[in-house]
Amino acid sequence: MLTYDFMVNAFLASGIVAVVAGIVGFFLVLRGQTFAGHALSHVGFAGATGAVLVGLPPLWGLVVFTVGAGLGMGVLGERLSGRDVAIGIILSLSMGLGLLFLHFYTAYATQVTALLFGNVLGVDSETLWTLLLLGAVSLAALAVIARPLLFASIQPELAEAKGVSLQLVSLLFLAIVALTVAECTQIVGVLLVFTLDGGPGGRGGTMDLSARPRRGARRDPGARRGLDRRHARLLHRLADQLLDHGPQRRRLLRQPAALTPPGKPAHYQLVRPCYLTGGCTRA
Amino acid sequence: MTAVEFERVTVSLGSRVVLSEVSLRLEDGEFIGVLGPNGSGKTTLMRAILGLVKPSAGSIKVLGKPARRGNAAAGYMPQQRQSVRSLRLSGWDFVASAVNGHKWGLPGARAAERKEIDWALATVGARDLARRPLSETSGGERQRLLLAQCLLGRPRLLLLDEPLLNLDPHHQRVVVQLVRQLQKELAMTVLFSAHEINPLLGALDKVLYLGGGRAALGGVDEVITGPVLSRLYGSEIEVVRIGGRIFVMSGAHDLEKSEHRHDAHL
Repeated sequence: MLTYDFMVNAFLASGIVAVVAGIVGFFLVLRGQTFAGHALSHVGFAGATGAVLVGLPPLWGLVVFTVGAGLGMGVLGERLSGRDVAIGIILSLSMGLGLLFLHFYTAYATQVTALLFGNVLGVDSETLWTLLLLGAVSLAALAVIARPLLFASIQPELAEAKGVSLQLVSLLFLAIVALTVAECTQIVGVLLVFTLDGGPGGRGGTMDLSARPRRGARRDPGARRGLDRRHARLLHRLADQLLDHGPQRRRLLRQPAALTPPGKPAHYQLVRPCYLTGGCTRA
Repeated sequence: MTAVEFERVTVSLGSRVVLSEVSLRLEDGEFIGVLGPNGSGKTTLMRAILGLVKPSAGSIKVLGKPARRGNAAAGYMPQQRQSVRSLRLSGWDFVASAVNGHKWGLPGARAAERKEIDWALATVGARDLARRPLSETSGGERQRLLLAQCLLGRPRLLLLDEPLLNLDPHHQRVVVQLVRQLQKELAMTVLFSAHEINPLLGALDKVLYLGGGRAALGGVDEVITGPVLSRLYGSEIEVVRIGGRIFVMSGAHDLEKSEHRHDAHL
């Protein structure tokens, strides 16, 4: 499998993205801002399609829009916490804008699945270097603000009294999150960035690997992230349906033999291949 | 030496005037109970001393210097929030997060900072809490850790905002005694806000009673009296003393008790 260049690149790219998203995601979960991080990826979708429309590389649009939105969220700072409805509206608006841009630029429409679901097998070495650079920048910036960020996340009032600027920390952190999101979007897509960002951070806490901050801490995940979870479930279903009608499904249906996993009896057909969970339903 | 000096200080939050032309001097090395109904400005007073709220008029001096943010000479325990309770950090790491937390860079304590954390934990008698996750500690134990956090950097002024909230009478007594003992040992000035005067009786040097934008400072017997409180509350207040306990009544209504109950449900 590793004799193919595209597979090697895929593993390297996923590796880079996983490490960066995991570390940034820890703070995202600690601060209860996973939904904001998720919304950033949708803003990035509008940015990428908008950039293509005006003839720029989609990555530029992705980075500029997500970082811009991240800074905007940072400026709002404390006022943003608990504003799930407002974030949700921005999220839907940018998704709609993205689709509108695509409508005006129909030639690019085939690439929409790559943006929505990522394109891990389409990573060339140039993209890999870009990923590495963006990842290094995100982690280096995070290392600089980690100490006040942890303090401000755990005890905002005390941190403020001790001279930490909550707004500056929040601003810088969301800019880093935006950069990470822009990076992840290229690999796992707009819809799944949330899982990569929130998953490991939340998992580290719930499994209680350790009570140390560098290795895992959490707030009660049920309390704050109810909306996030519902949202994620909805997106998964949407993604499933899109794929059901997608080109892969059609291609598979033309070759029934491809639907039977090797070594399994014929009735063990993949009736509805689920690309996202890797599972399958039996006939 | 004056620990805190207010000179005709007016503080407004939005359009609401919380403190109006308040002048007072808090002497060094005193244990001062800060009392008053909800919204009377107990938290705002502390935030003003810390430089987090700018007065719209007047001047505040802390240990002889104008109030400013990040003053290392002032330790602060904010009113406890729900979020601290569900953290899975160990007690040691929780306290450590406050050491030089304002400096850029990676978390993690250097040798001198580790020593300081160990000293703070030992001083409040919380050594055995160091390895336990915060979410598995009781309210009284968490209060000790928060207190240890305040002591980092050896402040001369300690601002404790409602440390007795949601504690049962036994733990309230333990916390008050601990703070009194620390205040004497380390020669600090302590501002201790509370809803009720009774748990603090015996430990207090002075009472600072806030209400209606005004403040009254003095000994318990000088301040907790019908005329003084009536002026602060703006209505007829009666003070009843039974068996060494004090009840502040408006008509047949125990004011401090009801304030307390109201807050516990928030």
